[in-house]
Amino acid sequence: MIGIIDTGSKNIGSILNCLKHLKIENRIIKNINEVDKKISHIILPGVGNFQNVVQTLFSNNFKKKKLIEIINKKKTLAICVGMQILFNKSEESNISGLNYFTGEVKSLKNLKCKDTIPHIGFNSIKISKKINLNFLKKRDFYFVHSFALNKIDLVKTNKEFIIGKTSHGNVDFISLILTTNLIATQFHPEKSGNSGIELFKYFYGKKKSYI
Amino acid sequence: MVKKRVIFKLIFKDDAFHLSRNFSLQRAGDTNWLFDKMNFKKISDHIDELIILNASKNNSINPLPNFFKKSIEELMRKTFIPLTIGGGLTNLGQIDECFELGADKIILTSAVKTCPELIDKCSSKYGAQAVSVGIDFKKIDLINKNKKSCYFSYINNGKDKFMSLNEHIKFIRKFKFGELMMTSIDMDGTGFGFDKDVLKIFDNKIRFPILLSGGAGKPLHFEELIGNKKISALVTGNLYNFLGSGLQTLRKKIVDKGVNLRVI
Repeated sequence: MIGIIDTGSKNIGSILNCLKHLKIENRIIKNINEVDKKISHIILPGVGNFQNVVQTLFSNNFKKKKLIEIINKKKTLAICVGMQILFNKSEESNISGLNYFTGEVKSLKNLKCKDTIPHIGFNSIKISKKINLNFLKKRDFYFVHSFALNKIDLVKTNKEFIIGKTSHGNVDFISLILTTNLIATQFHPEKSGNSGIELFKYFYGKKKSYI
Repeated sequence: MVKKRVIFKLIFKDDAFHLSRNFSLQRAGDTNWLFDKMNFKKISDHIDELIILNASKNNSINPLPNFFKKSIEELMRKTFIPLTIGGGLTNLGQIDECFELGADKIILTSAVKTCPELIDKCSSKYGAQAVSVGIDFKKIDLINKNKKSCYFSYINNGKDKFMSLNEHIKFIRKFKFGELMMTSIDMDGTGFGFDKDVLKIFDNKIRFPILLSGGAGKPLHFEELIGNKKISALVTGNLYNFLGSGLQTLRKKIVDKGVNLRVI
């Protein structure tokens, strides 16, 4: 069963619709105590503002340490701001993130993006390693954001991972991160039509490591 | 590079979807009609985004009309594409409801006059990327020496003249928003083609995405404009002209012209 963590983002309806379509059992988790043994996977959604998402998590008892424990124990899909809060901080606010990965979220403007900001629409992903990810092949995903990550500090992050990058206006930013038990996306799989459905299938169907 | 977008726009009023021509509406049908008669599932598989605008009277109340919400819920259960909701939004309560319904963006048009502070309020809650601004405009021939025509913006479903288009664009730039949807009232629903002249109003330095709406009737209208650097997306609400495999053909023609669209 998938537990969808309530990050105060109003639009988890689209994620619920996708899971329903795929007939995957799920429930919304409003408090950390509700994460039990039945929950094998968690989704960390996020729309809106970095600070709002972090604050909602903390006020719902999802303390940093506990949340990271859960992320390490279960399989996790972090979406958009849900991915950004896994990092140290964001230019969008002063509050610190979960420090799961080391890096700072920056505005596309400060990253010197020369194209339209926000980055809205479908775009493709280039992956750093040759790995057979069928759900990525010749597919586009939906982006809607003004902030992004341009790098992960490899040494400090101390995890094995693969990243996917997307370019927009001369900026290459991180759009996908895969670790053994986590998938993080800057794009919205729940809004990416069939491409997104394939990603949900990979997330829930893959028995062992994601990389 | 981000792909250009083909967007579909649906107008909802009272209890049904309507077709619009020069902003006057004609009842078309409900969600069942949309899926059974119009094969909307196929349409939604070949568009990049969906915009749903509420044109019901007295819709400035909180909460949003039940029938409007029910119809969106029914739609979004069957399609997994990005959604923008708009039409008469005047307060954050309504906007919260839009996001709960699965919107990725909301669009504010008349709010620019009635409650401009709502634009920034909404941006700080949901991020500027989630807030679109809409401008409905008409081209008006001025009786002066140069016989030059001028663009003016209209609010309240195209009923009330607001500002010159230049002033309007200058005015909205004070606010934090993501993208701008320009809708030509003259061309709306005619099928005669987009008002491409209006793009001259924007200089090449514009950094926010611009969507152009109103007038699409055949693939050629998209083909001749979608490669334009000032345009991020073209919008149509013309259900009957793109029936069957119409949108598939349209996408193929655009891609054949060398403009990238998302791979379906």
